[in-house]
Amino acid sequence: MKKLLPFVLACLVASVFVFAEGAKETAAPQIDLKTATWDQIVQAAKAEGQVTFYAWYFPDYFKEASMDFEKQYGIKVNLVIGDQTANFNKAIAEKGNAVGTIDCMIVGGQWVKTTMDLDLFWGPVNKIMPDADKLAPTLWVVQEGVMTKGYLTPFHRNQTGILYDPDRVTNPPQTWEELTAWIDANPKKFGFNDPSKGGSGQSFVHTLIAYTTGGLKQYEGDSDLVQTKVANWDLAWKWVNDRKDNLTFTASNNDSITRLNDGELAMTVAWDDNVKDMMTKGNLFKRAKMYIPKMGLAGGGDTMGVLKNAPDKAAALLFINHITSKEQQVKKFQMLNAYPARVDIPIEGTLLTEEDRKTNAIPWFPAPYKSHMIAEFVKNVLMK
Amino acid sequence: MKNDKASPMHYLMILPGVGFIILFLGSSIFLTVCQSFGLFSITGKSSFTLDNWKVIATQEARDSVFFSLKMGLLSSVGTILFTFPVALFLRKGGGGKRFLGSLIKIPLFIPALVAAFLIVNLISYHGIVNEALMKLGLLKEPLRMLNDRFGWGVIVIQIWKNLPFVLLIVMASLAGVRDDTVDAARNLGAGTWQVLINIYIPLTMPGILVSMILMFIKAFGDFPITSIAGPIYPSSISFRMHATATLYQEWDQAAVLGVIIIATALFVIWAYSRLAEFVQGEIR
Amino acid sequence: MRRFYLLLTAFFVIVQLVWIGVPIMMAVLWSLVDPQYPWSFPHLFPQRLAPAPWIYVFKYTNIIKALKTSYSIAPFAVALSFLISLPTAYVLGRKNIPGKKLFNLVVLLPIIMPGMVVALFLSRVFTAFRLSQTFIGLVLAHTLMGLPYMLRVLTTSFQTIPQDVIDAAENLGAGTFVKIKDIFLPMVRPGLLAGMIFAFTTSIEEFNLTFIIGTPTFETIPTILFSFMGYNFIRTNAAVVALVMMTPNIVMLFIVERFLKSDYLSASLGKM
Repeated sequence: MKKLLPFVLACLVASVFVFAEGAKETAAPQIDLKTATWDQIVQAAKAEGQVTFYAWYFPDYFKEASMDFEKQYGIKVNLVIGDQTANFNKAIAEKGNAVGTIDCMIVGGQWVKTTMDLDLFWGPVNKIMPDADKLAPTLWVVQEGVMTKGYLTPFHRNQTGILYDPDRVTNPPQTWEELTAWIDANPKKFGFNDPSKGGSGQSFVHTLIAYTTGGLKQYEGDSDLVQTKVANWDLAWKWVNDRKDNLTFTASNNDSITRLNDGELAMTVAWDDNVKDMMTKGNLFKRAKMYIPKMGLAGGGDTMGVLKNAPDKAAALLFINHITSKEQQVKKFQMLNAYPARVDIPIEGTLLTEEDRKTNAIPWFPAPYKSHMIAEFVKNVLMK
Repeated sequence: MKNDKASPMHYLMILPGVGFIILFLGSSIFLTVCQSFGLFSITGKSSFTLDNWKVIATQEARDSVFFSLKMGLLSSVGTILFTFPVALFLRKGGGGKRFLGSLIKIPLFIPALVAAFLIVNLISYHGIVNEALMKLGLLKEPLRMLNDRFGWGVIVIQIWKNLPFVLLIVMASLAGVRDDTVDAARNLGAGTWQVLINIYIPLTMPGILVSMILMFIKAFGDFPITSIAGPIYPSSISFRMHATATLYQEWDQAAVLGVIIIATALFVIWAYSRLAEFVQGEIR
Repeated sequence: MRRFYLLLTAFFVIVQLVWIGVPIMMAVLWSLVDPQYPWSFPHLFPQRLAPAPWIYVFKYTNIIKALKTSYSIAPFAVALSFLISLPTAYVLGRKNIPGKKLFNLVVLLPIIMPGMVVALFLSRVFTAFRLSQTFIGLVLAHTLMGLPYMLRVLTTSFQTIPQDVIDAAENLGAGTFVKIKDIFLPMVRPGLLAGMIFAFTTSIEEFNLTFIIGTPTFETIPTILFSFMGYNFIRTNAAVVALVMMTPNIVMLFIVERFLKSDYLSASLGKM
């Protein structure tokens, strides 16, 4: 003990010097980014000298993309791969600060609504991005059923589909009736996650509601929940409760896939990018197949947003442009087989066929219904 | 021992510890309580209201509170039941016990999330436990042990991870029990059971109490372990708080749940302390 | 009788090796899964082992830097919490000041606070004190989260020092400094060491607050851990990070055990 104390004190003094540097301050851009030309924005970005970007997946791709960006523009990238919840907690915690520490970040899932409601992002940027028209048009307008008003730049598209083990499923179901029959014939072999814990489960329940309560068209365009329209949703919950013993509820998007890999499930609903990622990393057997059934499953994508209090806004815009450029989107596709947001790239060899995407993918209903769906599922299915 | 009167010097001495904590946490707790009543709302629209407190009337919130309470109580009690005999056993040195002691302490250095992941690996549907039991002929079909409704998965992980934690504290406490006290009692004819009840337990009660309190808090407020291994429903109260804010965008209601978490934990701690005093008083 | 105890010890050692060894073994196997040969049912073991997940984690994450950061912050957090706790624990353990029960409860607040409150509110306090993105800030944050453990365990240790030993020393004319050096510190040593271990592990595991006020300037191990074990759960990479995190801890454990054991013997009052 006695010898330890001076040693500790020495370390203390030493590290104070080593670690004392805090975050670098950057000067606010002198130009008005909303009216400047793109070249002026590039110059301002170079003057800023660095950009801090937060994501929670694809560490391999983003690291490479960051290195490419640094090489091309000489602007340093502070890449942080965190956790979805933690990233947004940080953005929300910094909301009140004049200058935050995050410049741009990936936005997806339930956080689209949360962050748009809290007005975290700077924009709109759809008039500033030079290649805006080449990026998935629907995703510029609506994400996860939330109107994003051009604040968020699409960079990635994904789609839910049915994932199954072809060794155990010989006739993959296409219609709702076929699926129902399969579930009843194969108890506990079909699973999906609790909607409050992941989008793939939400997608399944979304389709469930479509087929048990009279279709999704009636909700289009509503900006608030219309109580009369959800009055018959008890029919959906009845469907689930009637076959509760035949269904397996999993704990998350990835848990569904893991349980398929473990042999507990033979069929589940999953995100195509998740599936591909897990396959390439040896976490899922290669024979697994995926498709979008004729009954339709929802899809969407992820976007990138610039924080309102970002210290390096010009650099953030430039970085987003970089990620959504043709070269980078092609690279992302080659590295990860993840569907790009650009519409001018030829796509081959994805898990889900282009055909499926065109004919069977369906859009989400508006966000208020989605939140209601999640809450009601918990109340009417999980609690019982 | 405790008949010194309080002097200003004493208050100065507790300032570093208690003061440090209040300095940093004071405003957070104040804000949480205010938000539960609708003030200082994170969404920007503030007005005093009691509406948010109605959320505790919902079944889901109550289920979550009771579930978390259950996890906290069972984990802390379960761990102490396992740990105390081990602590007594390790009290006497010698014979490879140091190695055993080190082995037992390993989970302490494994983060909660990692511990959950390791155990979940084992008890998954075709995990090693199920396969072994099936090979031994004890099972025809694998058991579904993951995400069970009661929460045994969580309890097992909590005990696995926290046994060394409780062990360290209890052993530190046991170290303060004099050998000559035990010897004296034995000489007076006390049997093993009596020595246990009348000497070991009362004298180590402060240590037992502290470890149970700390364990309870950890298990009650847990988020990561329950998310991975807990039942699909009900969720832990911490998760419910998180979902209320970020999934349903009800930030003020989430603040209510936050206040409930703090208040419930404080209440249980107080109850544990009273129980410990009672046990000590009774036995002495 | 000795033989019986020896056998019992051996039995427990085996139980422990299984209880702890098997989960760790599984993690090792998962960390070596060859991506070309995914490990799935019905294989009980992965078909092919390859260092690919390790290469991936070391190439695409800042794990070395994170290790250095985590292990730099922890010792300071431990030292600071020890220094802060000593006087407070002494008073709370041995003196009967009014409000003692309340103070004992207040001391536990950092760990009672829900994670969300810590993340959203406490982080703002640190920012307001200009402690965000600084090393000192992280040390203070980790100290704060470790204090409850250190304080309560140390308080309990102080509580159990028998008064007659102190009285005897005072009768022999011992001054305050001597009392601290030769009586208090040695006698609370087991509890103190326990508290230090808890403060240390709390610091290494601290995520919520650290992520918000630490990143992007400082990345700690939990940041990397959560990126693979949180929402985006990839078992193979998570296994690598878990093992990397565990190993130095376990090595240190065996070192610390030597300190602990010798101190139990000296602190055991039966020998005084």
